[in-house]
Amino acid sequence: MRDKKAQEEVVGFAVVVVLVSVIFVIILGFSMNKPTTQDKQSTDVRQFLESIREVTTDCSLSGSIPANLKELMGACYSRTYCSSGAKACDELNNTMKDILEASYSPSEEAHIKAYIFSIDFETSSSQRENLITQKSGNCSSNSYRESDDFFPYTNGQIFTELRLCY
Amino acid sequence: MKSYPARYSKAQIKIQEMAFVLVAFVVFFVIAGLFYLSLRMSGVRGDVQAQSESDAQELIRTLAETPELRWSSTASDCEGCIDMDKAILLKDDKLKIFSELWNVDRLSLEIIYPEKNGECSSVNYPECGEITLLNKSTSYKLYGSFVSLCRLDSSGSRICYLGKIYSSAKELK
Repeated sequence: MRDKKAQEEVVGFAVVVVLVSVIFVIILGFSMNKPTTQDKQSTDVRQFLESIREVTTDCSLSGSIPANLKELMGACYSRTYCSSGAKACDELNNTMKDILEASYSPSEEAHIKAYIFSIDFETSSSQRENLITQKSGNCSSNSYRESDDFFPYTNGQIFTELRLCY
Repeated sequence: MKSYPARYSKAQIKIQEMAFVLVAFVVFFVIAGLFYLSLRMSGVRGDVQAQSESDAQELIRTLAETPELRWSSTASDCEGCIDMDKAILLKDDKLKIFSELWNVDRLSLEIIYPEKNGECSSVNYPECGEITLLNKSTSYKLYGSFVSLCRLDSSGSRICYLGKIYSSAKELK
């Protein structure tokens, strides 16, 4: 009878410890997973987005002078063509793919596992139109860095956004 | 002399049990607290490192804005661009601008896109991928920032590449 009571007490104690542990782990999990937008902003990504604007492309929009990426983004929104006959958006897609691969080369084994890059046009009435989106790898993890950049174009703004996943 | 075993009342045993439980709880919470703190501290350390890297990248970017390297053609504006034609003239820090005026140990430019290889010299420029402006031996970490590297082609139009400026200095540690 006395043994049984002692067993009950030990079981009770164990239940309390388990309950407290579970509550503690849940609280810990919530506090560690709380996303902080400030953490995710990256200087490196912002500088990348600012720097690509001036990169010279293979597309000439008027005469023989090659357009830079900023001009090519505008031409893509205007649905125009390069002097070679290629669509501005196709040329933009190809150039951006090459730039992203050369800059970050994502893979499962590398530090950067994946990326999502997009270029959008936003009108003055805040309506967004996607010009291109490029993805590489699986960007589903919570470990990422991102930034965006924009510049005025005609009656709106062109936005570039990049997320790098680790 | 006869010894008598200590006899405790039921209440005393209960109090003892309660004391054990309380001690166990305190020990548990202390261990859990230490575990939580160590996790938080590792997060904070990571944040501090990320912040110092970000500051270093911003500082390096200011080097690109100095008149010695900045693109300053009146014909075309190019914000945040580095003039490669100027940089090739300052290669190997002939004027001691970087080592004495800016107190930098290492400074170099690398073309990321389109892919180009080899150290630049007055012979192979612009068909090359890297311009080393200064290369002193240093124990400080090398940081890099994305920049646009521009030059004038033979027809007088601006050609820009995506590149990186690398530097290491005491101020960037």
